[in-house]
Amino acid sequence: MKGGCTRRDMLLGAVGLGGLLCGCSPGEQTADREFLIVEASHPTKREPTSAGKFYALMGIAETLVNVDDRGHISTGLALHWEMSADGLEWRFDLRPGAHFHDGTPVTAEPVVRMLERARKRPGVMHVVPIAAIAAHEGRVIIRLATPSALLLPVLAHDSTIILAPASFDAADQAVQVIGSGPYRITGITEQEVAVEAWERWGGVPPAIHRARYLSAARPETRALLSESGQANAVFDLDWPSERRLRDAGHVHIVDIASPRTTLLKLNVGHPFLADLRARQALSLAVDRLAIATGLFGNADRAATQLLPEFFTDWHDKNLPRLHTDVAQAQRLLAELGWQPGADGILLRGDERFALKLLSLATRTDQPLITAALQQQFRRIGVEISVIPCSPAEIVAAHRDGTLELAMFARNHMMVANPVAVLMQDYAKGGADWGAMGWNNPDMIAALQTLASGAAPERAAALRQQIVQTLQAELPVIPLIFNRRIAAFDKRLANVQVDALERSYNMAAMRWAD
Amino acid sequence: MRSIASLLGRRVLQALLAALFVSSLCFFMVRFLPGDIAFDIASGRYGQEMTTQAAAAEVRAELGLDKPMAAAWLSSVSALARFDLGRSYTLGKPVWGLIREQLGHTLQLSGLAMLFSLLIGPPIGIIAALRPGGLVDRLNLLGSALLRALPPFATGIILIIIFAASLHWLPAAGHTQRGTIILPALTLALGLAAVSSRVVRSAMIDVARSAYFHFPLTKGLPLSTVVLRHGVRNMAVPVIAHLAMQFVYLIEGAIVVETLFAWPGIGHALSHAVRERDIPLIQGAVLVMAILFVLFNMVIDLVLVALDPRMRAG
Repeated sequence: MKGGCTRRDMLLGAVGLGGLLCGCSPGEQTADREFLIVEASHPTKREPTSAGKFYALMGIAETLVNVDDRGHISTGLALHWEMSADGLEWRFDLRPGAHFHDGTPVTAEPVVRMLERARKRPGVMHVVPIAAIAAHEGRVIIRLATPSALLLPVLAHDSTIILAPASFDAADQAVQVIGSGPYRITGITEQEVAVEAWERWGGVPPAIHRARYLSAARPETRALLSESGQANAVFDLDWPSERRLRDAGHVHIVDIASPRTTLLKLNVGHPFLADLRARQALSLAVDRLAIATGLFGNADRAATQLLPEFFTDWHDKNLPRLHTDVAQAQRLLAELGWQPGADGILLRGDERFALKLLSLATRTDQPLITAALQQQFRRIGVEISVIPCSPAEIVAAHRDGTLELAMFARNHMMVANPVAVLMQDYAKGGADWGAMGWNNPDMIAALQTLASGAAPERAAALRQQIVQTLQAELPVIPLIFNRRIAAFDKRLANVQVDALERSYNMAAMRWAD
Repeated sequence: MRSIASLLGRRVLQALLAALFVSSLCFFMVRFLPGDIAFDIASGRYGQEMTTQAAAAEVRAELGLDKPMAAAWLSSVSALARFDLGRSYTLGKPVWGLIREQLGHTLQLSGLAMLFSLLIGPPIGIIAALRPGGLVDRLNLLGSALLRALPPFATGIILIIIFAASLHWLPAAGHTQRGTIILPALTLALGLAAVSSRVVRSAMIDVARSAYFHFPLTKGLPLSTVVLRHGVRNMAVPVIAHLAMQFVYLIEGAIVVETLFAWPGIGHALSHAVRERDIPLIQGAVLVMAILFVLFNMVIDLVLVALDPRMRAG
């Protein structure tokens, strides 16, 4: 990263391996400098409906509309849009002069093709009652069966990125990614993607001309890439790595609130958990503050309700906080007929209060939280056995009804309106990544009203009703608010981290030296 | 010649049997894993948050996962017989193309690791053998025990901390930047050299006790000449036989080391494929590794025959 012949160059030269010989340059200019960005996810897939997030993050592909860092809809490939008086027809005007990276213009036809393609596949498009999508006089027209407040948030979702027709083969398989964003792909392998600034990009030209993404699955590797100075931006750092890097002081750490909450999914249909008092007892047994400070060094991470303060419209500061009260938890369970056995675990007749907790094996923070939960639940006489699993096992256990407890982090801003996620998660009987065996018709009705569009005052009342219901009924138990933690090279200026995980904001950054 | 032909014939038969056995074993192991395969594949395709029952249903219909297992196995074996490895369930790309690319990276890494280990292990082993119980021998014993006890993951982290994070001599990870291959290759090489140095030492001690080693010394030839002319070739037979065993360590170590160093090899791809139950990719990767293992053993056999005239005779 430095100019001249470095010790690294000399060592490589001394090793004398083919192609690795010392390549001393008279002095590296910032314009030539390659920006290395590191995160865990793999850039192996080309299919936009499943890998769109990566291509949006890198600024390679765009969506029809965008979302700013507070979750508000902003312009994307569409510069203007309007809705008919009955709310059933939406017309989008595309940005003039926009070009795909193969030089073809971005017109309404490829946009319609991509949206239709996304509609045919599983994904968020299905939460909007779309009747037809068409191109008409250079505009994209979307007709709805009923009015929906979720259309724009869904069009901003990364599974709806717009790619050039040449990205697909005759069988409609994505074979390359030709987007229209500020960066175009110059090289792609299983773990690395090289990009350069797209000269026909219509916005402000990026100050960083060349960049590379490296997928590093291990958190230790990501931290050491940052510490060694090899990487300029490293995302998805765990807390020990963040503390180590902060102490070392070589890099600039950004730690911001994220819309993700780590929660405990409960099978409300389970005989031990069907009574609200049992769910309240489990919630009262959790010492969130101890977990937040002891394991993550940040008291603000204790989840006092389902949605964090990030959601200003959805976080009710006046709501009674979820708190810890072991004695009250024991009283509630005693009311349900549970009595401590010889080993301290509760018994009711022949039943023993023992539950299985599915925990994602791929997340490094989860073993720590589950270990803490095991101890905290044991204090009220509940025995938890932890089963490391894949995400698919949680969904499958939900489907076949064998799930008892599961822990995962849920991004409630996966779509730029939490209603879309809440509608899926708390539908009748629950859903894969939300409640299980729980049904609240009033809340479902409130969500449907919000999805259809409601006046601001009415919408605020409905949001409050939903938040209060979730806090009172505990179909899931919120545990920890997640953070987005990243380490940046100190030579970078205008560093911005997008909590919504929609962009690395590379196009806005510049070298300060 | 007849013995060489029979050796080659045996190895080819072994390769065919290994192909049938490992591909069938992979198929049944992956199918019998707990949980629904359609959900794992959907998770690999769409990511955690987009893994839903609708996504799994689409995967099940597209890949015909409801078909009876025996019929699915027969279809997979008959495709293999036609040298058709199929398409990856999660990536949608032809498996052969994926393996070719990944295998190239793994062979590059393994080859350099083997080279480094040969530069480190045998010279230390020879020096240790010349004075058994001496300082070099005792240090070698200690170093070998330590390096062998450490998992490759820990050795790799230590090397990154020293050479990348502290000294800034080498890049920490990746594969396109200059020099990224050195630390993962060294990680594997140290594990290999830890054992090969001890094997070389033992072989060299046996050689050093022999009459054909002492005779030229008594004639007045310098030690270095005697070692090179009479020692190395004789002790090479057990050492090269040991190399075949080290191939297993390389494959095993590659999975861990490639993941740690973000190296896009077949080991790293295999770990992802297992997690996502990508049967065609798992079958293809394991099949290629098994055939490589047989081929590598065949090459070792041929080298041993070339080195040792007694083997040619019998």
